[in-house]
Amino acid sequence: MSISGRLGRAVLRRIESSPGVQEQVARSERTMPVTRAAHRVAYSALDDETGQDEAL
Amino acid sequence: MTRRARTRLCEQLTAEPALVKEALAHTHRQDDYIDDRAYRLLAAVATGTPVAPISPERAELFAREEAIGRMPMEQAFQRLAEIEPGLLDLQAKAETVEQNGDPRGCGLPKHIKEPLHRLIGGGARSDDELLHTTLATSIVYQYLEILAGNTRFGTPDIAYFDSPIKHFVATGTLFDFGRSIRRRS
Repeated sequence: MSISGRLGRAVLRRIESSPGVQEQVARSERTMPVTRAAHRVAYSALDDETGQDEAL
Repeated sequence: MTRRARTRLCEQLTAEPALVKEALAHTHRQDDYIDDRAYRLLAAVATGTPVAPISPERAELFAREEAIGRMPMEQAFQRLAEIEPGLLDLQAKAETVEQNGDPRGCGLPKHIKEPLHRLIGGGARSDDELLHTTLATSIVYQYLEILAGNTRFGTPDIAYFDSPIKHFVATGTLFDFGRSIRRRS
């Protein structure tokens, strides 16, 4: 691997090991099922229930 | 009885309310129809309020996005080609790829992909914002892939929104009250 390749991997490892990034990754994994469900429904043709529609 | 989107999302969310709120806290309103709708639905479920309407500044563009997302991909492509006729040339090229029996299952060939960057997505030469959206870009790529023989992406007679596998091409385009800023192509 070239020097620039090794340098790039080292920088990436350093970024990934930072607490902030690790926390972000963990949060993303936790919330992924929720955001994925929201996107699935967003693609549907069901209407939005805005305004006067009944509350749950 | 018509089932509504918010009710459907409530039914599908098995996560704890705190997790739904956490997801919402780290999501924000987006500049494309699907992400914006997902956010509005999630916010409604998390806060127990009705779904917020689309902001007036984006209503026209989002309506155009929704229209092309819900019509068959071949029809959506034709609608986009009315705005950017250069797409028709690439459609013919993609059909030739299929006829040559060269499915290129791992992406469009270079002679289609390269000119495509100038017709659709962040680098599109047209000023029409619809051509710069992630959705329009994804539809065009998926339709051309299908024509080129990549059967993984379904058939051109189904709508992109209904397609089980979606080719997703992020354009990185930001919309600021109707004015687009090209961040990257």
